[in-house]
Amino acid sequence: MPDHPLDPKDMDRFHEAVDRLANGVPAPSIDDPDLQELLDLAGRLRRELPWGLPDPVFTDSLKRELLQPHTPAIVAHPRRASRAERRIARFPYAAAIGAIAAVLVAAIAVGAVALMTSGDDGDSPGVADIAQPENETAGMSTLSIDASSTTDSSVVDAEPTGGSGGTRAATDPSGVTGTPTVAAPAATPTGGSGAPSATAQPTAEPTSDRQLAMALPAVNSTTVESGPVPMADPGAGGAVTTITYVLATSLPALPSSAPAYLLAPPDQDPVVLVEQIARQLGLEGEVQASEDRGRMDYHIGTDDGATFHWYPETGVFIYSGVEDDPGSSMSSDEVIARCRGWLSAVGYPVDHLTDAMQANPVDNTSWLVETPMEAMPQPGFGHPLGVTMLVNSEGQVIDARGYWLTTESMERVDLITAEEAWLALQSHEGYWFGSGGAFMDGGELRVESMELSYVLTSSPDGLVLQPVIAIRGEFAHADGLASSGVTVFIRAARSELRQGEP
Amino acid sequence: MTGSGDPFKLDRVEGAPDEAALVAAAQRDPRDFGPLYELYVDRIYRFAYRRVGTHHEAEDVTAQTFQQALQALPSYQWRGLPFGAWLFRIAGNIINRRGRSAGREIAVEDVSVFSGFEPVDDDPADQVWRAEQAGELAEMLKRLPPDQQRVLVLKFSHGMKNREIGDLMGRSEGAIKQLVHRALVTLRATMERDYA
Repeated sequence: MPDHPLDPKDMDRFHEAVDRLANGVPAPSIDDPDLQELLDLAGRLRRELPWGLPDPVFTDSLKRELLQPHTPAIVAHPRRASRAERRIARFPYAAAIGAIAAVLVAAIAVGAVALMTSGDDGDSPGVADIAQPENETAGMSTLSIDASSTTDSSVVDAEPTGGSGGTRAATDPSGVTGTPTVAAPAATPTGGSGAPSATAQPTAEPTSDRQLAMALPAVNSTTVESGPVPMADPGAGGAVTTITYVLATSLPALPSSAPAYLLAPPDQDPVVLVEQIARQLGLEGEVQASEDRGRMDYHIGTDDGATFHWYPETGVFIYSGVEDDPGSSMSSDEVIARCRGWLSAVGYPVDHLTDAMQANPVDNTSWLVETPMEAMPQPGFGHPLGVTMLVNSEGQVIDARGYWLTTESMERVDLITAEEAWLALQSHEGYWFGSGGAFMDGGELRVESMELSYVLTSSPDGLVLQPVIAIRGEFAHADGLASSGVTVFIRAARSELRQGEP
Repeated sequence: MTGSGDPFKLDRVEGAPDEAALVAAAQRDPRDFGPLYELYVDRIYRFAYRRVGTHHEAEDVTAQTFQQALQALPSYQWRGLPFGAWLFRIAGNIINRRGRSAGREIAVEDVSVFSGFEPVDDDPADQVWRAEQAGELAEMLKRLPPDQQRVLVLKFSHGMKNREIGDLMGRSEGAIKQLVHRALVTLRATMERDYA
């Protein structure tokens, strides 16, 4: 420190000079030798400090988040119930009647708390978070579905059929805390050797309106699927009760009914499926299984960085390859043909994809090929239903991800009206999606539009692409300092059908 | 464009930590991922920043890269290649996907933004010396108190104005000026101690 008081004018000149240096502009020298020495240091910082260093606060907080004890894999999906939780919900009669009552009471009581916390984007929940009961909406609706579904043995007995007992034990997330190596089951799986047999999946008999409607899950942060999207929107989740709603548009006339689709991933042992796909892709190694927030992730990877992940509960797959040396360029038609060939080779049901594959150049070195599922509405949230592939100019697939699903049944369901959707919104229902952070502190949602849309939802009985009312608007945070665009997806199917009441 | 901090250049450095051991430790217990994280977080961030062009997006990419790496770590097999090569590959994939999903081309590096850090076409020995100096400076910076470290990074590495830094740190512009001065004084003292 200087041994003399600093002249305020010198200090002003000093700060001005520091600003100039920080902007890469030469600065005049200062008479005070001490300040000049600091200026020289500032100049050195500008010259030598790498441009684009991370903010230390960011790196510290990321480190804390990553190293949080017992943090399972950090995923793109909003927090959802573990399989164990789902199993409890699916078999309400497996426990004593008193326990059911206790669960019901707890679901309602704690649900209020969970509802308040469901705005959490689920970036890094610990075990305690995973063990939380579902929020009120989810808990109530799940239980009501199960109560009716227990009369239907085919619904109750809907455990995955592909795996042997040994595999089942290894894949039970309640007992998996690490990433065990999963041996292939002794039982012969569906599909046998060679390419996976997803295309041979039988189509289920169409269900009645009521049966399908009963299987329609609630639409909230525990059921909505985002697919292979890298990171959930920080604002995704449920709303809190301290929000006021303003209708800034007239309520539209919405369709009175719309189709809902029951979708299913390949009915095949996941380990065997991944092994078969890995063989086709030339990935050598052992299939690993790990728990991913209550979901199983079967994956295989090579030391050069190529990986294939399979999430059998949601039918999501993610392949990340390694590029070879550049070769000759291909046309878009050739790229599309390569993509179809790649999908066929790994056993993907290409006949469920639209013929109109689109290949768009991303830059000079790669193509983006998007292939939606045929004759299927696309969800208004998350990854499109279908496959997205990144292909380099030589036609090599370097990234492929999407849903590996086929349609089991499709039925029309009656829809609620816009007025009913508006009331449901004011009851804080639905799945909230928006940028700009959580809604925890409350605020005002100004509704600007309503339209029919779709979301992919999961339940213990499967995946359902169901109609929703997408309510879009501007959310003004309680502090009045920030606002952001928000979409709330309200379940559109009439709930009385879902509950199977006469 | 190649910067002197080419992220893909991951030659083994004498005295560098034994990465194989670090990877093995992290695979045994993910809580031991810290040293690997420390080793690469700056480089991954800078790599991301050069590709995406904004600090906000670079933070997203960096976070996703380490999250995905930690998730896939059990299946990672050490084959003598630097662990960083795998991380950069993950980061590259994330950036590519972001470029696609945002419906825009991947950001082209802005020469003017990086002009202050571009290598001068001179003697390789001088370049090495400069890189070493920069590394030393960055290391010394990490020994400052957190708020002083942060203010210098935001000012000299992000090029932010005092008012912007103040908004970020919840302080007045005047307080930031004082903090910059204090940080420079501390840094000078740290350097004097080291060189003494």
